[in-house]
Amino acid sequence: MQMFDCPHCGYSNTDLARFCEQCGTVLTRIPPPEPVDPAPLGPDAAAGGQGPETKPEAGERAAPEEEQGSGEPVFGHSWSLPPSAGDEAGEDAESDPSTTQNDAQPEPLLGELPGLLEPADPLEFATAGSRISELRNEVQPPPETVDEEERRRLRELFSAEFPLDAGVAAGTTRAAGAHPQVGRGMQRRFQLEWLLLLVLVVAYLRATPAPPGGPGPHPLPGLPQAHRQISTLPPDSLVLVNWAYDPATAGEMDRVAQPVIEHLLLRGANLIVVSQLPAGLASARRLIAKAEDAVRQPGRSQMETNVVIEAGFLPGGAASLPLLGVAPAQTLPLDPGWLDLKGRFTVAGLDKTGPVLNLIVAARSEDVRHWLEQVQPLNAGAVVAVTSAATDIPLRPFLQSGQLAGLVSGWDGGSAYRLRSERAAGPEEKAVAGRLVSGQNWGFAILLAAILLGNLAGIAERRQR
Amino acid sequence: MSSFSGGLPGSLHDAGLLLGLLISLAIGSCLIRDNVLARLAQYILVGAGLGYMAVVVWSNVLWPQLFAPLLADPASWLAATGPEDLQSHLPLLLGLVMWLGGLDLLFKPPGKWSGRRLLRLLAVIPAAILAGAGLGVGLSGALQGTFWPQLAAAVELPQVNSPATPDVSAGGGQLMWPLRLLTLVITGGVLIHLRLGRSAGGDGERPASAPASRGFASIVPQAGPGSLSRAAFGKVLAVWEGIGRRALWLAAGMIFARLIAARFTLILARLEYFLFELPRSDLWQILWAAARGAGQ
Repeated sequence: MQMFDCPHCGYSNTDLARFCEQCGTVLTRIPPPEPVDPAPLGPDAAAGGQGPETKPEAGERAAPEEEQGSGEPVFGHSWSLPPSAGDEAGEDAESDPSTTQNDAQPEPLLGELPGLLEPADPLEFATAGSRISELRNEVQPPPETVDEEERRRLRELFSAEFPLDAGVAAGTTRAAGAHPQVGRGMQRRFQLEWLLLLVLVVAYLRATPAPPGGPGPHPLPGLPQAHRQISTLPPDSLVLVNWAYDPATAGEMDRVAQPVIEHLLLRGANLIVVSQLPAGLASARRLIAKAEDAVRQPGRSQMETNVVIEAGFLPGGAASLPLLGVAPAQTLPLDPGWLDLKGRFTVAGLDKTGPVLNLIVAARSEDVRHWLEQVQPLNAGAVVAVTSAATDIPLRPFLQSGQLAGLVSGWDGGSAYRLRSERAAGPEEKAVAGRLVSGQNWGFAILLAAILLGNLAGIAERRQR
Repeated sequence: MSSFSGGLPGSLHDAGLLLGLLISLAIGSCLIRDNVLARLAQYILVGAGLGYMAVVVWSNVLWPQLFAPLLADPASWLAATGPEDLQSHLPLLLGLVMWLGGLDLLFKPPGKWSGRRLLRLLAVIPAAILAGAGLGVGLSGALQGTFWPQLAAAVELPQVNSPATPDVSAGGGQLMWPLRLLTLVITGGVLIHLRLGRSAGGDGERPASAPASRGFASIVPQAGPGSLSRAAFGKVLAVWEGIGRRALWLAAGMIFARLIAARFTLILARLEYFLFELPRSDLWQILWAAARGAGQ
């Protein structure tokens, strides 16, 4: 079977492929250019077209006799130009200084959107004085020596995809020696990541817990307010919890959410947990069980009075949230018949008095923002957000405006909240926290060193020039 | 005690830990080279996720809220007096139309006038309802929940539904005006940078997100009467734009730092699992003892 290279990434695709297996580029075949007639160009040719009889239809393969008649077929960029002479004509125009761009090919259908409608060609975005610009000069000192192979290699270099050899793994063949870089895996390109992982492992294994009573993570603004909001809850307060993270981000979110849930349980709050993620309730179930086990200690009888109701999965995204603000008990996907008497009273109280507190446990800022936009203006309840560190910055304006009554974010937020907890952490929890702090510190130290060295290398390179 | 208490039984928890190890190692082997195990683990991950979602949707939504009421009283639509009596039938009808229209897309396009063409046209109705409702709710929510409260907080208008007031500590009010001035300066600077900004080298390049513009020259002509004041105005604009540009980079750096912290926490959680949590499980201990016994 004949193989053809993708014009974008250089991956060898089979003859029958309509899309590149590596990067998904549409492999539209464009017939080779007709020999240039020295006679004056006609209206059709001046417009860049080749006549209606030679235009291939979009998404349709060229006729076999065209391929056989001209040897290897030419692939073109179907998204940037109308069916015409395509790249070959463009390169002819480049190689011949006397031929203007307008003569060789028509203008793109849409301009001002490079990168969206055209392939990301690093040579096109090179700035003056950059390394790419030098490469460009090296690659094509005189315009007539445009090397398509060099262009393809540069595209490969700038390609965001991992150079995994999917084609070989799937049993397809490849032109021998065509792309020596493809298929080596990431082991030669990601030394820094491997080094970082190795140092993190060593730091994690050799971590020592922080000295007792020593300074903990610095609490960011919003955390004291969140703690105060929960501390002042009267017993049996109704808290509506929107659980908006699933196992994919549980590694971080569990550490932030557990101290807050424990605090609520210790305050004797009644939780009604709803989630708009299908796997969200599984995460909630696991973490709340963990929190209940942690706060269940001899002599603590208030745990018996906690009501934690799993209200179910609420579909519909942001569009279903206004109902939760207007009539929460009727909107919850919950059959009261499943609950005991106390649970039924709790859910019924949701419609009468509304929740005393709304707790949003979310890995994305959008979930908190949707709640603040759709539910809070309707029920006017206080909202405390427990979020990932990555969503901290976008939520700060809501804290400043008073829409958020409190914000706990990231591992440092969870650790700082834990230090304010009524429950003393056990030795195992302290060891885990110590390893976490040590790993974070080492990770940031390595990252800062990498940034510093990279900048120094850049400065040195600039001075050499 | 609640329905959340207890969690999984110990043996299932251990089995989950071990299965997690196998899947993690299989997907992690992709770092060395793409292979069958990595692909298999990815397919299992996606398939299990989709299967779990289907079960949750069926057990939480479709069965209790749609099919169970319909099966309990299939002919309730005959006695319907208003739309509220059709709250099970109407969603079923719209869903079926959309589903069948989607299935029809798998086949070749229909002829000019046929039942299939009509079905495709009808399937647009529920899609339009979905898109329209989502857009309307989103727009009104953005206005009432983000735009107006943020604007009100910026100019300190009275908040109608604000459940909590900003935490202003003693003496904090005196510091409000420098903060507002800083907000104004940075906001203006960023807007100037995005609209008229130039690169640090002053070579006239626009930032990637900026629309086409002639830069400062478009509003500050450099020659003619009053050119001195215009030059000073241009200088002020240039300084203001520089503040905005640096503020943009500072904000990007802060977001990046918090993002890195989040990702570090995720990877450290995985390390905790591999190095400490897994070796403590009973199942791992048994397997490890068996492996050592087999080796001796």
